[in-house]
Amino acid sequence: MAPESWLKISLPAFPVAFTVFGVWLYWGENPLPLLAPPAAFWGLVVLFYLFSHLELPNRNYPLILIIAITALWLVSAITSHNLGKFVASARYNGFTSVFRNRDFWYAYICSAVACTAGLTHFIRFEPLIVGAVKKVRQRIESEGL
Amino acid sequence: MAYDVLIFGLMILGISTAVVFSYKIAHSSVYPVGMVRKMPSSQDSGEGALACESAPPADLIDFATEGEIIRHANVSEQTVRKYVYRMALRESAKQHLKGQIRKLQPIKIVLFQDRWETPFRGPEPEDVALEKEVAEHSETLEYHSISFAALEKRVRKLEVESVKKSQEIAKEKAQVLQPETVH
Repeated sequence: MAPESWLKISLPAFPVAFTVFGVWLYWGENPLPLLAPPAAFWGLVVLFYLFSHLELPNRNYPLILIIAITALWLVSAITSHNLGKFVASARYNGFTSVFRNRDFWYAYICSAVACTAGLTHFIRFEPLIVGAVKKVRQRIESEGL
Repeated sequence: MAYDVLIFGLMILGISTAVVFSYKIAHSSVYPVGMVRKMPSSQDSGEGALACESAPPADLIDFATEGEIIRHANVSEQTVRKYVYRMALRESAKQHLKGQIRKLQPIKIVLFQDRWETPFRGPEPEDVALEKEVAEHSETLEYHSISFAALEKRVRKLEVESVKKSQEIAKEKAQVLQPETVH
């Protein structure tokens, strides 16, 4: 992938990076309740970017996909909130205890699906977008504009 | 309980929709769009391209129909006049076509070109027809501009030859007249 493509997927990943480097490594707090929603949101932003530059004639597939991923992000945000309550409570006694919590699975499964959707579509369609941009740039340059 | 049902239902709905529509997208024709929404302002000079009427410039007609050239080129004045006129008409059509393409470019031509170059698509029939028409026009224009260039070349050559001839005649005349002036 081109450096420009890396930049496109890195910028929306900043909230995830902040959770890891700021909340977890710098402040030493538990990042589990905060990690899932930004990760799901990353997938959503990547899909937004992709489908702003792609067209499927006479099809609403991208729109429906984006709505589905938004629903997953919502579920992830709600369950992460409840996971945060669980982590702050006395029931939490170590990392392994979250595996018994249903909210953890809801939050992270939704987040993983959103991320996977964003990433797979990005890998598939980003070269197409980059190629098209390259051709348009070359054409404009060759026309001496 | 209600919370669990709502969350579980939303999650299943979201995941199944994401999977189904990802699959559908992967098996659809996908075109890259929106790369260049607007062409730079320097391209917007195609307005009134048709204002270049079919009438060719007067000096070009004068040059082409000059008696000496027509005699040497072995064609009638009418033929040359018609030819030059036709060339001007072609040029005007070319300008008009370019203007039309420029008008379309921000929304269509860029997309067509992109579609034609990507493996993810199949061009629509009207796009193909338009592209074919444009290609035919450009081929014809190219052919005619080549012939016109050849004609121009020939005319120049004849012009040079006629000047040389007239110079030679003048020299001969001068040589004939010289002995008389000595006496």
